[in-house]
Amino acid sequence: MTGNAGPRPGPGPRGATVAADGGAAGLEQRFDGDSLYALRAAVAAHGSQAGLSDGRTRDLVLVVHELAANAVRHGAGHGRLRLRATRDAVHCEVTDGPAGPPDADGAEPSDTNGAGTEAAAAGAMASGAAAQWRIEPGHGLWLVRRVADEATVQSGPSGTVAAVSFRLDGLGEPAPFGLAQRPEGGCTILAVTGQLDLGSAAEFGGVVDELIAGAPGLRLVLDLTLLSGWDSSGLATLITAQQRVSHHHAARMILAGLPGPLVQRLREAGLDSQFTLAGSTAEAVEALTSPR
Amino acid sequence: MPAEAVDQITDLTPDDHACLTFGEPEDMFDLTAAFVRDGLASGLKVIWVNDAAPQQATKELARRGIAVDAALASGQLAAAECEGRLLSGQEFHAGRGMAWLTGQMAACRREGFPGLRVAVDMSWALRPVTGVEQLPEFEEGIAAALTGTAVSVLCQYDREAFDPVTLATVTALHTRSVATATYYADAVLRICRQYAPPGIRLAGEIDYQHAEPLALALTEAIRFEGDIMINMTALAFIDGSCARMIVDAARGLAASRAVVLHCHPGIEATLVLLGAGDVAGVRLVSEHDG
Repeated sequence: MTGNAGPRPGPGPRGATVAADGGAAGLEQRFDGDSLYALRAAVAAHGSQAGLSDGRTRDLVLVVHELAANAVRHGAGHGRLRLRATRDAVHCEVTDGPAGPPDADGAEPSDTNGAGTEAAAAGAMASGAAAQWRIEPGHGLWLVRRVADEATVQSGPSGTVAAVSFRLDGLGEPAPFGLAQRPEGGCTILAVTGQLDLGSAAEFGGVVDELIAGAPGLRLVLDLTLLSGWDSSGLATLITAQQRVSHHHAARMILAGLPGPLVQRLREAGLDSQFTLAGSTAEAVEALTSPR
Repeated sequence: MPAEAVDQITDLTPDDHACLTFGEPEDMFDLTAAFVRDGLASGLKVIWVNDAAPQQATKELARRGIAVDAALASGQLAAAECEGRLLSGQEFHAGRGMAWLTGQMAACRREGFPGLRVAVDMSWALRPVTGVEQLPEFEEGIAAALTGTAVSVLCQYDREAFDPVTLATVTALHTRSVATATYYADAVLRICRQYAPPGIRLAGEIDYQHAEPLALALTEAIRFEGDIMINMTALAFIDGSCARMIVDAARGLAASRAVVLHCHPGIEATLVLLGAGDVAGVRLVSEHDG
């Protein structure tokens, strides 16, 4: 099925337009199964230009690809991506179709963006009206939910619209990544500062591996009070750390002080059950040292 | 007899005169490493005559799991430059090249090895070397010298760099053609077999549209003996469905042997989110590019 309907060239840079609202950079691109590669390339360029880190840009590309692939495979066979970068986030909308004439683009209500991305992500996505966009463990949308900051899927008269957003760090200088280790009450506290991401995940993983190798009965508290966020590499390195700890029968690990929004994201990703969470390092130390 | 079908590097016989053609250096190093590995494992002496510095050649072998240092120290393995063996200055003589080869064959017998394997990098012939027109004569000489011996020679030709006429002429003088088995290749994606260590290699970008050749490659990998590597170090993008296919295949394979998933950290994250880290026998090895 070829979906490059309309007089404009669908895929490629010539399909891109720059939005006029407040100077925010934007991209609008039609796609079908033959132009997903071009779509990914365009999204990578725009994500990076908007200020997403390398790891978050990779995540954005994966998420947009999964949504677009869903539209191609399980929807109309083609669709349209709208990407809008604001000061705070990169917002993407993937529309299955569209059914309407190609030139009706500008007339569509722009508030679907705001309304969609502000909705609680997981619930909206899990109960989305689009029955054909199934969320199964390991499938595309399931991956989207684990990787995007916010995600919703809604069905409307113009087709199924999936909206995702990736937060930008904002104007403030993000705290640099740092690891600090200290013993406390028979436990090892490893404090993580800044972003746990593509650039820092290997360092974190190496330190955790050393700690596990050095102490078979390791009681590890990850102090995440000052963790500012993660990309999928950061999330993966936390999962890997937990798996490695779990493989050592005597070792245990608790995540302490994880900021509320990140706890929420862990829940939305369905990963909270894989970890033990504690409000503070003191609570974590108590939990690890008190007899069970 | 001129080789028509393309054979596997692992199928060589003791007196083969094989022609390795490759499209990228990765293929050449991989196939050569398999040639060297199998030679060393059979107790043969192995020599690699390379246009690059010998240390670089042996480093490529070591990266592919060959115990280079021990083999070099014992004299079972030697890496040498073309200069002084095939070439003298910028000059080539088929006769001198043959004298060097027969000298090595005699030395190998004296040293008590049951046989010899020689890999010869032919990229010197792409330079303005005097006497390069004697290349077919040299190949004919090798073919005659090997028949009935326990010596095999693997001549390495870059099929992008050599002109088609030269390639056609020289390949016809070999007993076999050897190349990397490729399951899929276009401008965006390549899926091929890897020989050392055994497994498959993916390069470029892959999504659900190429699930079929990926499934074929994974199915064939199941038939290899021993541990398996799925080399994704040159893969820039993988979507959820292909990543899941790889994790599922690795889970199936790891029941009986070790599976190494070698990839960029960004790809590793996708595999971990899909559960690759929790499968016994599967090891994730990540490598930052550049």
